[in-house]
Amino acid sequence: MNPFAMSWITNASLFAWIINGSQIVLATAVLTLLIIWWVEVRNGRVW
Amino acid sequence: MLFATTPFLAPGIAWILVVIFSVLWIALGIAWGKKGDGGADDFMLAGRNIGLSLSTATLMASWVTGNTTLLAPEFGYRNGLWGMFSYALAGLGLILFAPLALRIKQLMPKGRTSGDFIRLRYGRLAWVVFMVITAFYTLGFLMTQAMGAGILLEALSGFDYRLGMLVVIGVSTIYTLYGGMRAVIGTDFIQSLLIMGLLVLVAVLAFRQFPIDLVHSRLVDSHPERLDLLLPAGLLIAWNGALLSMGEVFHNNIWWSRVFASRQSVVIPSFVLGGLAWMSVPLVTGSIGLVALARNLELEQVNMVFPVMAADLLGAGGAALVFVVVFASLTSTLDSLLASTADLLAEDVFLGLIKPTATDAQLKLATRGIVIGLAIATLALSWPRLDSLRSVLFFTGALVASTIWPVACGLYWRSANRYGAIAAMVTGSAAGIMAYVLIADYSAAIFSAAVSAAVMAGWSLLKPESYAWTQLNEEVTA
Repeated sequence: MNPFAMSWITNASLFAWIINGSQIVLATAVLTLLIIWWVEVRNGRVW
Repeated sequence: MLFATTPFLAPGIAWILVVIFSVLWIALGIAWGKKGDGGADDFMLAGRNIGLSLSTATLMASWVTGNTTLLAPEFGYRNGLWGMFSYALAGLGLILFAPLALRIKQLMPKGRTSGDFIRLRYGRLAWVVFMVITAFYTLGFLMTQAMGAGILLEALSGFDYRLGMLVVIGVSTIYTLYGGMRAVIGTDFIQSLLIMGLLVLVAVLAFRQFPIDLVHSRLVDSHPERLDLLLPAGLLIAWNGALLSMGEVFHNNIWWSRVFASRQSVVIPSFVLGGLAWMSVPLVTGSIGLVALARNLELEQVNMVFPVMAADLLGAGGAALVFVVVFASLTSTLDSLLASTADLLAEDVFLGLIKPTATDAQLKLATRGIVIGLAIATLALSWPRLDSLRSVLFFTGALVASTIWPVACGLYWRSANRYGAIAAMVTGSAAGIMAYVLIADYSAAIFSAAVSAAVMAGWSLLKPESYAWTQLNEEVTA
């Protein structure tokens, strides 16, 4: 066995955190963009 | 088992979706295009005053390419978690460009293109080298988008490869031609919302069909190395991805044109927000590649793993959702590429070399002509089909990573030497190509950036220049 070979296999909870986290960030980005756009529309600052 | 790539969406539904979204993009593009003052500068840079929402959305939409829906799942399938992370690290290119973007806006408030900067900062010879690099990259980028359009529409709906390509390029060209940068940025806003919203929906529904813990346990049993966070090849691919994206963003006029088009106060937040939000996209699409791996599917064409899996897990509805995401991703990137590359060629080549006395109307006409020329050239180059886009992408990385340090040093370091910049771009590109051929395709950007950095720094320290920053603004406005 190569003593320098290292590995860190992702466990189930970290794996779930990565998959769910990425989906939550993406959904939050959509909402954030819509909120910023709405504020800019009200202030006439879109273009 | 071998998973055949049969279409999952009835051609009739696919055509209805194509017609609906094509009419929508073209109508909105033309309407937004009428907002400006009709001048060439407005056509090229949308009035130079766009706010945070449009600025962030256009960065997001332009950076979510056909590659993000084709390649990120391929990376996830081939390289596991590190494949996804490496693709996500491409968002660093946008985030790290944020301070440079503000600096550009301050130094060149009337600037139009990245070529303007290189020419004024380093001279005509450096500009030639830069334009050759950007030409290779842009053509490669346009080809991957065009081929992605043909491959994806064929996989999803059975469209002929060339017909799919023709439809996507045709629609992008029409609204870019009529509405210029206003059309591009306005449609990008809607396209980015569609892409992000529908991707979340597809991913949530897909993991309901094939739960996360089941995917994990299957991967642990069959492909544990794909879950290894210390995978050496994964680490190398990740850093290559980050440097490749920095090279792409730092040099390309897509991103410089967004800087010039935005209000100064929104430049930094839009690049940071756009980059952060974008990083979640390849993680979400890449995770679909892991589902394919967990199900032990062998695909005829790995770059179709995302549409094939979405359609397989979610049926015709999933195929329709992916179709819309893909159509929006491709049109939003192609319109940006067409518009900003046409700006670059019109400003730097037509106005700078061919006809310096051109009127505003002639410049606008030339920009439109170049949009059409680029669309035709892209179609011609993409007519023969390649089955993996990964090699095309990594090859361009060997070239563009060599521009990172000349651009960054040129913006901040008064002593940065013009001949050092030329040598850095040439030697960096050569080193990147050698690494691509001799070591691995995913090591090209690392070698290119490293050699370029050493040459740029060494030359400038030995032969420092004393550049006056005001030259950037004075000459642009002259």
